[in-house]
Amino acid sequence: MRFTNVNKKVLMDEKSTATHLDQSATEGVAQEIPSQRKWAAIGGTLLVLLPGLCFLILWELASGYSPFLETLISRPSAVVRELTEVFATGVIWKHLEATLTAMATGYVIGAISAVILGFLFGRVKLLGDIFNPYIILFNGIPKVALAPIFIIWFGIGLMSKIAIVSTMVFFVVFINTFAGLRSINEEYVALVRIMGATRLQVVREVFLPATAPFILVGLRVGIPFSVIGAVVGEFIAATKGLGFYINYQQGLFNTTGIFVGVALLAFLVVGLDWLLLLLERRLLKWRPEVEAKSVNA
Amino acid sequence: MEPVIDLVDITKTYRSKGKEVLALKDVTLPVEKGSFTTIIGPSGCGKSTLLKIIAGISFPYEGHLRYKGREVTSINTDVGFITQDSNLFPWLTLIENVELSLKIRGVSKEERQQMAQTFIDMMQLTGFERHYPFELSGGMQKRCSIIRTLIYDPDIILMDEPFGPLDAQTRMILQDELLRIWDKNQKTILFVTHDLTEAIALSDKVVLFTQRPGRVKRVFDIPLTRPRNVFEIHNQKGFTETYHEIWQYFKTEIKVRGEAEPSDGRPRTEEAVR
Repeated sequence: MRFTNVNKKVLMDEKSTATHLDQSATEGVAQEIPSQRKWAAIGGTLLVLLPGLCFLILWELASGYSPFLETLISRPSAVVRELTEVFATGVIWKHLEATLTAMATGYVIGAISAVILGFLFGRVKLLGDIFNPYIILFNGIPKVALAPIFIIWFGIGLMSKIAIVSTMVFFVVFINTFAGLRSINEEYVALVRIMGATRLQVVREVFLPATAPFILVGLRVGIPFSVIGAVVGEFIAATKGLGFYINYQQGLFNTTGIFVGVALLAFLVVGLDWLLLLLERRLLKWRPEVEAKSVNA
Repeated sequence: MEPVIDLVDITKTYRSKGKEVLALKDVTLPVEKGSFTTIIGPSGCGKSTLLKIIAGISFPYEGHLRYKGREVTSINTDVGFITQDSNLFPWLTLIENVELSLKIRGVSKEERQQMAQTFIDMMQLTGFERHYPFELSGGMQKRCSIIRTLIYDPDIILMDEPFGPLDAQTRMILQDELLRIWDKNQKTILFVTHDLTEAIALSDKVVLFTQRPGRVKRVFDIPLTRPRNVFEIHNQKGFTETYHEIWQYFKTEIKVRGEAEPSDGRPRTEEAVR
């Protein structure tokens, strides 16, 4: 050890601060009184649940006020009953399956082509400069408005729904990937090039990890879009699917049935979003914000 | 002895907001192998641009740049570049950052981990291998950025105001560590700073640049003996005289723009006066 005393002391100080910072995230939990911590957590959860519960109770009470109101707004207990029923009888499965198939296929096609084209346009400067105004223009079009044309092109059924979903997902993922590539710190690129990186290595070591947060944002935002795309397709023309189911229940003036469809769509989005959140936490654990979020949760 | 880096009449213009800006003008500077040379000058004088040119990441320019006698035409992978910001890759842990250059150069996983560990231990970063950059202090990040460059053993190390963002104490400690490393392996170091004390404490030779467009105003040999103690550099024999000598020339370059005196009788170009 050839360090002077001053040297060593400052070094130690510096290290201990960093260690402390690091430990506060993990050991802090253990050091506090565990029961106190637990009660705080339960209290927090209750506080979050409270408005939802109030809403459901008010809804239930309101629909008991008059039978006419009940036909208009249904009631939560009826929705839950019908929800269990559609699963018990199995009538909902083919609708769920149809919507999920269209969503998943369209999502994968849209996302993959978006990432590939995003890289191309984001990194080949000439391409990006030429097509940038067109991208902005096309992004401005409400993709839902294209649904009728897809139905004319691809007919009623899976194909047209996939086309709508993939167009909608494509744009959110593409715009984000593109933005990610355009915001890359050029010093990173120069550094790995000086280290001797080939073109492919620059992509693997810098472009991919640096754009991952952007791509993941696009993928998460893309989930509700994929549901909207599929449901819109089913509203316009379909023989099955959750959008069709909701439309059909409307024809029967069955508000409970409509809420069943809506609830299933909401669960679908929340569930898929949660899956992507898990993926994001795994891939982006190097980011301080994600760390903070996961500690809170 | 033939210089390892030989800059001859380097002139660099770049475009900014549709205007041509002259960054460097006729810079001639031979850098000898194993020397510690520091370029000092007012901010915006093109010091960083010169390092980028030497690394082969800033084309085109006029003039000649020879590395070991050969003209440089593309990125020079024999250099190591340490930037002002640590620029660690935020998605890699400390040890992965240190290993990166070896991974790029195809060194096997065990071998590069072993080498990285040696450097990490040398810089007293042991125990922080699995930490991400955001979990490290500024000084630790800087240490990491130094060893990730040293690990692939570049012939020349270019350092662009590397200690600028650090607090005074950490800066001194790192200057001290840098001198130890340099004493041991005698790499050629080209260092850029605007801190005169730092320049004198570290270098064999201080090259003073003028305001933009940067030109070599004067070269000073630093007579201080080695090994040097950066913590006591003010008391070392010859420091004060050297400081004052350089400062006489340096201070005329850091006056408010427009008031700048012609530094050497040559007419200034329009950009510089503007």
